[in-house]
Amino acid sequence: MTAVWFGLVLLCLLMYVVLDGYDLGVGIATLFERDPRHRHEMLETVALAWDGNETWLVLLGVSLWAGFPAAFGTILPHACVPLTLMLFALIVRGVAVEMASQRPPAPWWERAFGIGSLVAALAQGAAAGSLAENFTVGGGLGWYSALTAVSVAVGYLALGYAFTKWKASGALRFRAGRHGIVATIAAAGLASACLGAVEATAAPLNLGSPVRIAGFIGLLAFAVVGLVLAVATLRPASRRDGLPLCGLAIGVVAIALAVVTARYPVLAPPSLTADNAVSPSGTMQFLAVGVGLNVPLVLFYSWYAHYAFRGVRRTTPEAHHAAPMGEH
Amino acid sequence: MAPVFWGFRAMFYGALLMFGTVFYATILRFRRRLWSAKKFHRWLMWMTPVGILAILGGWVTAETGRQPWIVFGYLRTSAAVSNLAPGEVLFSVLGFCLIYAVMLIAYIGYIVHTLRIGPERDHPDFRSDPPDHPQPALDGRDVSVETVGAQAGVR
Repeated sequence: MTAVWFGLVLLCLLMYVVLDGYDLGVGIATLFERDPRHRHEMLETVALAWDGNETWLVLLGVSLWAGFPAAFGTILPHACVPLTLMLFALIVRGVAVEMASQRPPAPWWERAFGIGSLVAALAQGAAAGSLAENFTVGGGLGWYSALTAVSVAVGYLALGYAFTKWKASGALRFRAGRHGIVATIAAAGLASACLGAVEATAAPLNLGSPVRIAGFIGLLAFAVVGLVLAVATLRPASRRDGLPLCGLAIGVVAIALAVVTARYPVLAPPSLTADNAVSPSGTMQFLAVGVGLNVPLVLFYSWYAHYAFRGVRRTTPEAHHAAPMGEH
Repeated sequence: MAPVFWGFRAMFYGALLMFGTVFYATILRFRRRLWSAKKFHRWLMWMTPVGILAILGGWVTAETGRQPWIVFGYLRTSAAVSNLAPGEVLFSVLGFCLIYAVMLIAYIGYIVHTLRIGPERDHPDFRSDPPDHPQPALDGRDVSVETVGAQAGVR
């Protein structure tokens, strides 16, 4: 049961990072986009599914709370400041998407969307990095959290450009591809820096057994393959516009699983493990039914939202100005 | 005891008011007078905040009535409280107040903007150029259920 719940928490986390990662990334990318028409187009591509993507965060919170209450009770107060900041940023950003989409032109809301996305990404990265620090009440965040914050933001930016290249056409697609390559390479460098620096934190990697070493190296090799695929297909000349996002998703998932392989079963330093953070078995079985019924549902609508809007946006300037208000 | 007492009454009488309103609306609908009942429309306008007030009342009743327990009979609130520094709590409370205040202002601005446009924009017969003989969107005649369904389908 512990393994099932651990897998469930991990599934929610990875689905969230990949799905909301791309829409937060598109938000960050709008901050670097000078053309207001392109900015609005980028916003509209994520306005369709961003709220569905964020349900994975809710499911992550619920499954962590239900499955590992001790971890939930330790990690949330420890990472209180970045997580609260993330919540603020997600609130502002969610309102900004709808406002900018319902009542264009709304340059201020679009700016709020970009800044909210950036702050949410940085805060998530800082919260993840704070898991590698000693848990003290009211302690500030250290240098490792700063490093992971930047890494997560750049990683999301790469996902955002990959998504934009997939969904946009013309000059926007071209530029997203070129910027995406830079962001992917930067994210890969920062991820390596995080993995290298984790030895100096309170949560060093445990590579004590051959199985762990093999798993860790194998998954990292997988991540490299994914990232190379992403860089190769992000080139504007490549017509395979769906592959960059796949490649990046492979990279992100493989890196996360590599870290989990090297850390399992410790959830938080120094010694909070999955086994001693787990709920009583009766609670787990009861909640497994509730959460278990929700996971297929959320998986289905996450898939359906992207399937229903699987096409590519082709907007001409005329069509943009004639677009009716409140078009969804 | 005061919060529990008044919270419960806000919830209970709010629920009665809402049930009564819906019941009366159903009667009006079957008598085909719902669309033209002006006084009832005015009443509905004043009923708008009742749902929220009832929710708040119920919530206050549940939370204050359960004290000092957080899980009745199992866990006391004093044992369940998070281990947070005062500054962190202050940050989150002030932050939420500030952000929700800003969002409320933005929301009211948007609602006022939408009200100024009026419901005609989403009417199936709406044309952006002003017609020679402007028609009111709600002309006071009650319509059959089929027409209502068709209009709802358009929106």
